[in-house]
Amino acid sequence: MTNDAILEKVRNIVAEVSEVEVARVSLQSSPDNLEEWDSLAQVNIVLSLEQEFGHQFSPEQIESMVSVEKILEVLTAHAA
Amino acid sequence: MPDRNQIISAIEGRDHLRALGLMRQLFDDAPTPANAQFVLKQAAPIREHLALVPCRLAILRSFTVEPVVPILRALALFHGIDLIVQVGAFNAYSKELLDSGSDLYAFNPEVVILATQTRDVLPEVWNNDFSAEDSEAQAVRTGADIEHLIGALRSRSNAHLILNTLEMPAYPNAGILDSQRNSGQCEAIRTVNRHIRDAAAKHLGVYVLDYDALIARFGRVNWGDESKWLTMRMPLGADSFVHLASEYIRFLLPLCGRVCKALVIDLDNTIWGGIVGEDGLDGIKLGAEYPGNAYLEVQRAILDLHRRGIILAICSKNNPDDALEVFKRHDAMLLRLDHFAATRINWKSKAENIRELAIDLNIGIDALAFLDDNPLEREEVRMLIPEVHVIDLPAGPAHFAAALRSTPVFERLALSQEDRDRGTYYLAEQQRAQLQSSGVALDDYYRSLGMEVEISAVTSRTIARVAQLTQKTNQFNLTTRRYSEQEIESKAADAAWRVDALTATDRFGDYGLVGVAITNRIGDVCEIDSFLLSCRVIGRSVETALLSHVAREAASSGMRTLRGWYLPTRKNAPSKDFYPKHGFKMINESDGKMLFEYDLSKELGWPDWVKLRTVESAAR
Repeated sequence: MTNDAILEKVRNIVAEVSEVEVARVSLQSSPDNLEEWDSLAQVNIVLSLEQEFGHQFSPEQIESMVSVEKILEVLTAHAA
Repeated sequence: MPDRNQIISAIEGRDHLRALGLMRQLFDDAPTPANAQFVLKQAAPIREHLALVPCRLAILRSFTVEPVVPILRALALFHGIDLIVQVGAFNAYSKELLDSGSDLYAFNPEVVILATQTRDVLPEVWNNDFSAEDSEAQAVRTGADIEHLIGALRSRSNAHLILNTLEMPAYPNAGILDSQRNSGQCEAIRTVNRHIRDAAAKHLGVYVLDYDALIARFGRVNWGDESKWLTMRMPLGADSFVHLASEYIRFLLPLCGRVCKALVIDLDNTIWGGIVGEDGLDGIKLGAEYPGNAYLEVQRAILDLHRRGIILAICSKNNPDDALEVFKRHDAMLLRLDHFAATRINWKSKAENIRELAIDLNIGIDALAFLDDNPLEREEVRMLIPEVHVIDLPAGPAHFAAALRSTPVFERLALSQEDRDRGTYYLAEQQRAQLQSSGVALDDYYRSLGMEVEISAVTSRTIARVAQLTQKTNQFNLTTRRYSEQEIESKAADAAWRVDALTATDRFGDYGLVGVAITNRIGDVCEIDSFLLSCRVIGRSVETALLSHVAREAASSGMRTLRGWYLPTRKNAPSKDFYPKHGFKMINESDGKMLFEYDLSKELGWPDWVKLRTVESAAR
């Protein structure tokens, strides 16, 4: 999967579990600037990513996934 | 995998059932909370086109269940249920159940799930901080606590309650020593589970979900994920939520009446290996060795459904003589022709045959499930009759039986005598049909049946079947009001109400309990709240007998007027003319709803070819 495709997938997942339009989700989105990205959304994001990418995250990875950009870092490091 | 744009364009093209099918494929491919949310969002504006049954579900819990909610709602949607879910506050289930002013009771749920786990309910046992004496006392106390909570719910609500057993640890504290003694950690949990089951068994409408067995089915070591427990207090791994949701669905389908009544099966390469028309009786694979033993397992799974009251039918493209010979002459066959209520062995399309079978069996087409090894046949049926539940089979027969056994649409929460005897009803029905088609006049036909009915007030023995009939009967049902056992029980206890049950028998066999009339008395008016008969007895004047009984009983208790509504549904047109045909006058009509009235000073005639046995039950 290309980085662009991964970004698209992550944006879709964040938008769906936070129940916002995908256009509102960018690389910089995080729980700090997207109000709907609450702790429950965070849980659903992690669960959805694990199933979509077939990878079980470590506790350190889970704790680092606090923005779209940081999520991409974890996913691309795992893909590499 | 369908992409999201395909789904969106199907919705824009108003092809709702296709959109739902595509959404199901998308979700099955990756059953994530995100995909579930996508499905729910897309389905929201087209809900009214999907003929959904609404259901209000409260989930009380001791742990984080939130991710299961969208997954459960999406699965329910695929099964025709519009699930409205309220989740209780974290670990506050006792308070919610005990406090009559709680959010739980304000929500007025139809179903309550109590989701608990061992580490919350039995922390001492989970953390190995207990002695053998403690554990026995704890089991008794936990059982008593649960019973107290059930009692609190029952005093305020008729909602169904789904409890779960508590799970064993993957690795007991004492290692393999735990199973060498009868006072270990796992034994303590087993004892508590027995007490939970006993507490549930004392109440109507309380069911046990075996959480420990569910976890074992999918693998205890993989059920939870320590990373998520330690960082997010999430005891379930990502893949486990869909398993838990699917297990809840097994309970919700029978509770919402979204189950299949009949299974239509293919023959060649489905219940035996090979094609009998080409391979011959001796060439097909069925017996002790693979692949013949895989097909025996399929037959065992089908027989188990038959014992659960599921009607069986055959739909096969074959020469009838070839196929029937297997049933008559193959030594290894477990299924016999008398297990089947109807057969279609011909060269017509499966969709056409399935439509005919639904008419033959006199059940709705959405109550049929279809089992066929051929993906093209499955696709054809899915396309042409989307209401039929098509069971997906993997390639190769080794996993056919498991696929059939895991299908949730055959789940039942109770088994009545009628369920167990269903197979024989259909055999008797075939003999009746032969008599009728032999050309006798209708009155003579009725007389020759030798019909006898027994009408009596509902008892603790018949309450499950009476509730089941109100939930399942669609065609001959004047008001289609669905009642739980709990609701029937409270009506039967109310002096203003009567709940009468009718059992019928004729010379071909016993129909079982097939009719229900529920009436309510206000002043000198007796109102028929519910009036319904199972389709297998319709058209034999039994309906007239039951109505006549209701009228006589009302008149003898001083009522002057009998009233009854006809409330139209998509399926109950066959009962539309019932009241006017029996001399009732329509006194009100709006939106197709009609209120009828009968003056009880006139006698409502009893069909003289039906013999009555009235039994007044002391248990009323």
